[in-house]
Amino acid sequence: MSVIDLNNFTIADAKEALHGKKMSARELVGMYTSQIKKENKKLNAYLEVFEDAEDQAKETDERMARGDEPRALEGIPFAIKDNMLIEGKRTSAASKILEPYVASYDAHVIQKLRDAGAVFLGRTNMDEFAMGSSTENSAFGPTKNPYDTSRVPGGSSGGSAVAVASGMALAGLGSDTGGSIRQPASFCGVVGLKPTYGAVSRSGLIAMASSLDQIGPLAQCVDDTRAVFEVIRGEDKKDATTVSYAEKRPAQKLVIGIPKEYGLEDDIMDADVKDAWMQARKTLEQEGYETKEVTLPYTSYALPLYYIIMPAEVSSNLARFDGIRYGLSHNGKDLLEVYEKSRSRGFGDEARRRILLGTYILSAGYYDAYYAKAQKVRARFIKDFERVFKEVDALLTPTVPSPAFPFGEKLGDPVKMYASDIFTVSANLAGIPALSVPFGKGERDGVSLPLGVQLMAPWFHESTLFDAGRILEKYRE
Amino acid sequence: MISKKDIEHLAKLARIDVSEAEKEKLAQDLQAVLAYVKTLQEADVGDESFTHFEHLETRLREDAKENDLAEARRTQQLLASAPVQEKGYVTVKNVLGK
Repeated sequence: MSVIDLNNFTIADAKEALHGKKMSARELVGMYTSQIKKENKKLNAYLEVFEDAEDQAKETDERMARGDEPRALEGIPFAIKDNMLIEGKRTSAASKILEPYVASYDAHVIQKLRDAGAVFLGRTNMDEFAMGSSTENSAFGPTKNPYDTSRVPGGSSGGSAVAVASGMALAGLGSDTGGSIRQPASFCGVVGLKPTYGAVSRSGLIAMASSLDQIGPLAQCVDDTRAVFEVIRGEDKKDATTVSYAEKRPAQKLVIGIPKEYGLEDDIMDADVKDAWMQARKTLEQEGYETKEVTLPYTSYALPLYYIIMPAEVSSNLARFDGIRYGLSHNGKDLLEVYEKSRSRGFGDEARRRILLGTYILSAGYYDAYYAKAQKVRARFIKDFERVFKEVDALLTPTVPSPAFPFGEKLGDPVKMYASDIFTVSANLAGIPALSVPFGKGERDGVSLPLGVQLMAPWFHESTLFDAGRILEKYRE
Repeated sequence: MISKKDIEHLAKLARIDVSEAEKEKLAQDLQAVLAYVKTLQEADVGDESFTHFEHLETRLREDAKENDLAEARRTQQLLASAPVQEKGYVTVKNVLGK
């Protein structure tokens, strides 16, 4: 077996090697586990590496030996964010309150991956309950950016992004509530997709904000991202928001919108991020796409909307962690004290902050002013996108206003941290699909860091994202 | 303005203990976020109702029973997650004082 550069190894390459019998599935898994042994101590991408990974690969080898038709992701080693249940494994959402929890069933996406032949290498680090943009909120220490370990990998799916970026997994799953797949993908130089709301089942995903959450893939390239998405998407009885749908694709040459409110005329991002954005626009034009400037006037409400709707849903969803049915439990003199002690000791600072904020927003006397108003603005916000998608087939924006930032830079200041999501939250609020593709580099303190651009498309038009994304990734350097 | 007293009240509603030292900082943080979202109050919403995605509809299913064996297995698995259990039940402290 020749030496393989895991940083440039794709699902297609792995399939070819496995099907051509140049490598066994156990050897493939072994390459990744030895890379994990080498790198994980430094980067902290995995919270746990599964000891049975090679046993899982055995099944693939047996099938191949029998000459069975290979399944869609036969033998492909995955990193799974620690908020998706894998039966019999710990799932903690990087929180102390779930540290002792062992999943009693498979999440729908895990079942789908399993049926497609995927191998699970381990569970990856994240911001606690997916609340954050840096993985600094993990109860088990931050994950580090492989390009510069003094910088954050982004978050909340930072562990999965780093695992893919550093050759510790061939692909990963993340979840995206306000940018938690796309922002770390951008910071770590990998591709990340947030699918349409309703495209992928959340059954078995530990919920953060249910009207925004969506599971999606992180991978080395657009084709890999697509291959994973095709496996995990589809209707599931256990998530009533899911629908089955035929792929939608516009017939003619694509028109790409450049939204003015994303900093076209003012200074809301680093200069090299803006250059990369404009370069991406030019690249698409050179490849025959038409681009045009469009306007989304409700954009300025995106972050305020997000920071009302999200904590409101967080406070409801996290009410279930009570020290009674699962997870951490602290003794108290009565039931109330058990609740209070378990929750106080189990939740970290950001979770507590958001629970209290959501409780405030939903409390009598404030509900109409905050939550009800936000719901109405959100309806208008969605109409902006409905209108603009009559003019254009997709939108092109930067993914994040900057490359990866240093540890601690935004940690003590929630509002500053939240601003990191300025370009990504809109897709969650509108329920549309969005893809981050590596594009260009930015130098900070002498280190060359990856930058990313984001494509957004109408509901269920993921294929448009893959088409345009594939062109952009060809020019990523 | 969010006061320390407000934080105490919210903490009680949310079943979270907040230390004296934390109260001040939490009040400031919540205040900062609420100041940040204030612009929403001025947004024009016309006669808009709540958010709704066109492709979503309420779906009902039969209230069907699983087969006994599968159900017994699931019950056991779910019970096994509970920190304190006894004879097939989740055990909790007294709700009311004796």
